[in-house]
Amino acid sequence: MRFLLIFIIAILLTSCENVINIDLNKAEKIIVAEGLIELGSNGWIRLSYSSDYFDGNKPEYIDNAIVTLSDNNGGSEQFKYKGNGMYLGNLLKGKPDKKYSLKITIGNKTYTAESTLFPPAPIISVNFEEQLFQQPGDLTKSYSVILKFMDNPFIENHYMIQIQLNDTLENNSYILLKDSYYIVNGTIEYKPLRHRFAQGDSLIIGLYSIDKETYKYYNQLNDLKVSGMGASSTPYNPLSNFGTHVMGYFAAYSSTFQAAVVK
Amino acid sequence: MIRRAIALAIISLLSCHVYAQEKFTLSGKIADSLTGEDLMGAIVYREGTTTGSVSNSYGFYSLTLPRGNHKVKFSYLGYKTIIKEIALKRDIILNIDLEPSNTNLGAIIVSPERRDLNIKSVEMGVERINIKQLETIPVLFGEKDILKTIQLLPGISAASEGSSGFTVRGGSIDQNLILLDEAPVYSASHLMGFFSVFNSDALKNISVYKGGIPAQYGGRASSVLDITMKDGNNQNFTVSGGLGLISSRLTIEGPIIKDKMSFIVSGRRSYADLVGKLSGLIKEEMTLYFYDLNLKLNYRFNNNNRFYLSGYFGKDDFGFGVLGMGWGNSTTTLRWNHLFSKRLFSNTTFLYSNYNYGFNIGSDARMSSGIVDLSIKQDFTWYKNPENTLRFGFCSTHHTFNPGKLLTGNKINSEIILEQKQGVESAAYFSDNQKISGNLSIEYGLRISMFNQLGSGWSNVYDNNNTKVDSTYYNKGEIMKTYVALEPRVSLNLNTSATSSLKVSYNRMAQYLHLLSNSTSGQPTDTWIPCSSNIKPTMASQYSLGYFRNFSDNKYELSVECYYKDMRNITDYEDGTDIMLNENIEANILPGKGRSYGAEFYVKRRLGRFNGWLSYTLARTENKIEGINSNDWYPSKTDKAHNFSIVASYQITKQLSVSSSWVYYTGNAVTFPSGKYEYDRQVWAYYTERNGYRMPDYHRLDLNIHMNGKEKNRFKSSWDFSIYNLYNRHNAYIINFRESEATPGTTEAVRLSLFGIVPSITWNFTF
Repeated sequence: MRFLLIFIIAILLTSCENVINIDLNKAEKIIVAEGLIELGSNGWIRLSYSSDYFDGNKPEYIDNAIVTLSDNNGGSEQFKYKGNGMYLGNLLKGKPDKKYSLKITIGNKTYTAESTLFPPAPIISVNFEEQLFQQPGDLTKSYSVILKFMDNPFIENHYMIQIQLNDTLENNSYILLKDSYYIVNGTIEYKPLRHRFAQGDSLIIGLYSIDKETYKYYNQLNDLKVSGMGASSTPYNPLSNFGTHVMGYFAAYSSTFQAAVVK
Repeated sequence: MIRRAIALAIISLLSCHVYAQEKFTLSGKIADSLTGEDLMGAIVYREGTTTGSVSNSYGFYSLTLPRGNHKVKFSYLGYKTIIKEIALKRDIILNIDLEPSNTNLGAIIVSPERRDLNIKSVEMGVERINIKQLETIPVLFGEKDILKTIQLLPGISAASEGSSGFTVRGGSIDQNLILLDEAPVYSASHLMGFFSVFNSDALKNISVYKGGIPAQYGGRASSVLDITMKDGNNQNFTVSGGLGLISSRLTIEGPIIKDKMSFIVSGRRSYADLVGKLSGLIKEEMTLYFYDLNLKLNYRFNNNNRFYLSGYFGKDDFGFGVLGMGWGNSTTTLRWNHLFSKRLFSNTTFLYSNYNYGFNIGSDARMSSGIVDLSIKQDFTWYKNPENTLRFGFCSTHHTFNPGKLLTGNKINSEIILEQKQGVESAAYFSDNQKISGNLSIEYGLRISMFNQLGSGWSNVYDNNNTKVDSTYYNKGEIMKTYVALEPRVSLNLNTSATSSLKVSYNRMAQYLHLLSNSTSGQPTDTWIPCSSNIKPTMASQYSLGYFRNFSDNKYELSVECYYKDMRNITDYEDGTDIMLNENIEANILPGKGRSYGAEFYVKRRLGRFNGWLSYTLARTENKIEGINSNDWYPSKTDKAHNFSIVASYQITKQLSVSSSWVYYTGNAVTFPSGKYEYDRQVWAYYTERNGYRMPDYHRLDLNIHMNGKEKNRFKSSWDFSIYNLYNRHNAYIINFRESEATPGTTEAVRLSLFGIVPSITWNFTF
């Protein structure tokens, strides 16, 4: 819908875009956390503060936090500070079906987030199909990708797909899907129609198994990406799993990759 | 309660026989002598007195007077007044045909009634518009659009730039009841909101009720827009039409049996796609158009019985290769006017209304949603005596809601079908428009409305985490939930002098349907859902006070109206709610309250070569919804502090007129970021307060030149040259905040302006 609206506006109307100056309020700075534990790797987190919207400086990093990662089997470790807001672990490595808990203490305040690491979903095949409809301005034929992968039919699964096109990671909306939209039979065939490729493009497709809460968080980030367009809802802050006083997220996930060339 | 109301009505009916002695009734219909179109709002009164009556929307009038000789005047603005000498010794039926006057009216005239009706009538918060007289108000792309013209009136404003969506006294767009020949129109716009579905060639009258809403209307919290279609010329065949930039129109009307039966067929189709294809802007495989078809047939069986069948069919079609999207309304109304006596007018209506939205990607996926209504309505108007006009009746509507379904081909293996929902909305009402003395009149009434949510379906109970904790299944036709509301309506008019009056009114409205929408202006994907155990009906109470004054022999009208509106159970969504295809949407709906108050100033010059109006609204609308903005009051999306418009028209010669409008309003309340942060290698905005910022102020000047061509026999033509946004102001449609492409790592605000200066030309003809 949003895409169509913008599309119609663009072709029909005398629209124009200008960069303008706007006075914005200066909000009190808030803690920003970006934490991750991947299958087979150590966990990490980057901590910083939010800044004024038009501030051109680098973020103010937080270097005095105490960060502890623990799992639901009693494993626990304290991360080491490595500079630039980065805290690394070197003991616990991501294991499937484990629930991880990440605790941050800054001064006398503590924030805790949890995430469950789901097992990876094996990719069966990556194929391409000629797009049935071309977009205005398309000179050559475009293709869409068809990703087929295994889905454990006995549990509820959530996925995120990232596409790296010719060595650059696409910064478009996150591609999110849940298996409850599909008839359960052990495999899912998915065709992201909005993503179009040309012959000869080389892709690396990453398939991330994420938990339900992470799915929700990234879905909210997607809302934020399109907010401001005519048909979108009022923008809001995605709800962090660290609580309402923190922006950002701590995720546990596993991933599988496959490279392919469009032909 | 309903029973009591009916009993009351019957008792009043019986008492009339005793009262009617030595008085007789003059009744009939008032029509245009050239086209036979009924004239609504024509004035009938006894010369030299204030005793009179006004013709209803079917042109019917009824006036009861003592036995004797009377001089009765029939008048309607823009028509020659007729005076009849009547010897009233028995009930008389007198049908009057009024001849349009050739005096130079100028083009824009709102309120075609008796010149001082605004002072004498008990109504307030109402605007009536005669379609014929709106031709020259400049509009976007030269498309005459009634929904955009009403946005120039006080208290009514555009939902967003160029949009036919409107908000009335702070209400949201889904709180407007839009009726076309009594059938509700659920989605009143084409092409993503830029054009309304109403083809003005097929329309006759328009009334907008902002406040003091009479008891015969109900079902929406904020306003009523009552649109009547033309009946069709019952004297001569005429063809009229026009060619514009966006669409072309053709209307054929004429008698089937002269004076008895006539029809009208009016069609409009846009051809932006054809023009686009020719100019290379749009590719061959693309479709992009809308059409409207209005049909009406009326048959006067005899003086006591008349039938009307009217229909509207409209559709938008957007296609690009295998990608297709379409939506449209269709409505059908069958009406029977019957006179039980010379003083008791009855109208029985059966109606059907359907709104449907569909989206498909080849044979891979199909999505659809919509609403279907079936209604029966019975309305009586009883002209008891010149002092009392009573209205009473009932209506019942069966709604079927299709909240959405997604079906896919075997390639994708996925389907979501949201359960159909049903409901019956019923109401009974009565009202009395009573002249208490020469200076004081009152209209009071009560509407009792009821909504039953019906099975089959599941009724769910959710806990605080929005988890479904209990479900009950109801069989087909079983009542799942019932709401009843009392809706009192009162208006009082005190004539403080011959040229001024003071009016007060109160009305309470219940709304049982909610529109799932996250846009301001309304989109075709927006879905209607009924009240249920989780969603309560929206209730609005409005108090208004107004002062009306005419100057210079009624040449100038001035009014000041103040209002306060209190709204309960308005809705918003939890952050991140998916409103499409969400079967648990009821759990994500947040109820809250709203308040809106303001003052409307209005000066109008109606007569003469130079006419127009000036309107200014000072208003405030706020919401308080649990879970939003830390549970504090915040400005609603529809909040606009200042809203100013000037419309002026000057008739230079008989052939040439110029009109112009200028609008200025405070920018909408919006949510802008107050900070930023980095996550996943990207910059994100950080928000603090809801709707805490304002879009830049909006203003725009439009101009229209109307030129009549030479008349040849019956063939008449005219040209309209219009310019939208004459001084090319870049009004902000959207302001986006994003990472700068030029200097990565920094952020910028980008204003998107939709329309620069837009010239257009339209050619109209009739023969």
